[in-house]
Amino acid sequence: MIRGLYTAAAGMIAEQRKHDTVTNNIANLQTAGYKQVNAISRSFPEMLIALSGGQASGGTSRQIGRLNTGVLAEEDPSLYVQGDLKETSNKFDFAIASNIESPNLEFNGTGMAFDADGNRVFQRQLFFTVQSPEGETRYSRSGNFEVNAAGELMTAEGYRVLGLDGQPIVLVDAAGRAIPEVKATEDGRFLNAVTGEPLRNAAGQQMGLLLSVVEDPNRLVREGNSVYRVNAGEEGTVTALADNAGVRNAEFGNWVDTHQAAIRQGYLEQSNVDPAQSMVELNNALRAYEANQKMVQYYDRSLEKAVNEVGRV
Amino acid sequence: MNPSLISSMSSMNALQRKLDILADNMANLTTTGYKRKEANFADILMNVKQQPQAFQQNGRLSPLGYQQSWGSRISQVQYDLTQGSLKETGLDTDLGIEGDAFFEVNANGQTAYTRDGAFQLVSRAGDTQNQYLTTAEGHSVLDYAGNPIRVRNGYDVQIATDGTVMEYKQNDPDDKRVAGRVKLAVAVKPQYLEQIGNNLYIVPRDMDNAAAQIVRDAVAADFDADSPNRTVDTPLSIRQRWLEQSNVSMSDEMSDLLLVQRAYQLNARALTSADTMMNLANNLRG
Repeated sequence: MIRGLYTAAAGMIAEQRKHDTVTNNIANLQTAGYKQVNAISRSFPEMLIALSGGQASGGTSRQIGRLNTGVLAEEDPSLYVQGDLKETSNKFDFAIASNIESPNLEFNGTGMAFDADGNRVFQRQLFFTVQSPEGETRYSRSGNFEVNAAGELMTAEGYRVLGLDGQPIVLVDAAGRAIPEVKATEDGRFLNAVTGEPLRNAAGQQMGLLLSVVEDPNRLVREGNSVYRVNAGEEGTVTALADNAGVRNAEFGNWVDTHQAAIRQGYLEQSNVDPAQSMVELNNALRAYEANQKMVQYYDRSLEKAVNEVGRV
Repeated sequence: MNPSLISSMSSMNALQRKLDILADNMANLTTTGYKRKEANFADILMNVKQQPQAFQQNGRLSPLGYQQSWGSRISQVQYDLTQGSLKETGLDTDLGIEGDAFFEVNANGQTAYTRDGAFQLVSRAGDTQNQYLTTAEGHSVLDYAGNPIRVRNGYDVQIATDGTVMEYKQNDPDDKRVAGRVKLAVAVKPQYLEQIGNNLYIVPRDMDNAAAQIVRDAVAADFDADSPNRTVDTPLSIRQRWLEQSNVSMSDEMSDLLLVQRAYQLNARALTSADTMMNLANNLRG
């Protein structure tokens, strides 16, 4: 059969996937904490083409060359660059602003760098730590929280927000009264909005948002509802920056003090999708799809000739 | 099915709803005590296409699997309870609230909350002695005991910053007494309040206010700027002869509108583009 027919069909499917990815980025232009997704394609394994029958006529087998037999959209990692912060009027909106540096590494615009040995290293990213209704730990950049009837701090999608002690944050004071507002410091600790005193939970521990630092954000798996998870066996790549009895995590404290990381209360991180780039990619995917479609038609016409005209007397 | 079509469609639905909310805000640009609403988005649950181990190639960034998403949806609509600007009206029965609290009124037997302090004194059938402090729709304004606030006929009212209503005769300074105290309810979890129109909010019927603590009575400390026992950031205060204006800002809404409109357009383009692709696929055999 004609190989190119399948190659072109594979190209159509891969471009369709790319188009879907760009469309989804566009669909999430307004989603807080959304990170742009890019589809990355890979070619099918190459094969070596040789002239058949070369040996039968006494000559040596003649190699023609290598040929790829198609393409597939292999993976769709997110681009974890900082989104813009937009001021909102909600006291329970939080945004993470982070640009964590690593010694001897110069990160480029996509948060990637190469170390002295030439290994690819990604910039570490901070995430809010939340808990799914099933009790599993998830990570999120979307900080639009609200307080539910029981006083728990929740994401808009119903995930509990975890506090510095690793337990869901419950905004109820010692007398059982709901706490209407808090003041958050740059490192995510909660203070009494009136007096500025540290807020303590039932066990007497400092209340605050539990951030997690992710070594390589590409290892996170998107789950929808603005949350990410880590696959089983890779939990070690995520470290919860837990406070121990009010003592600030030293590494995180250093980032905050040197302005590499901050939590902003009353702000939301906007989607980092670039509409102009998305539009270009959208047209790109559409036209590449069309080109592949034309190739299929040309092959079809070649086949038509072979079938209907070659044998005609 | 073409996922591009579904993504752009779901997102256009969500953006349309955001547009409705913006239109609602703009329509209430001059509504006394109106609180603007804000919509937040979340991305939609996706399915993961499993990939065999052979896909774990050198240079691959992410774990195995290809995630497909289906657009975005509105995850939350919140009230923006920031203070609206206060405007002087000079009318004795106009009250403006400073701080996160509501007046409590009796709306046909149901407890409701409002920031709209454009009150009036009206007579009620069966009571020739008194006039009642009510909203423009005639709902009685309540005191801390849940009773309507009433003023004897022929008296003027003076209302202190803590809500104490003093009735007095203009021509006789000695003839005055306390007629009641306008109740303020602190909005602890305002997101749970349900809007029922006419500037009124209620605690949803399926929720128990005592357990969920959505609104609670203001305490004396809430009015005292120096008290450490205050439960609210901004000390509460009632301003007589002032009205709180809507907290909608035309410029904010317009810039939001532009963003939403462009996002909608972009999604519509993606939809057209997806449609073109389906057309191409259909016409493979021209």
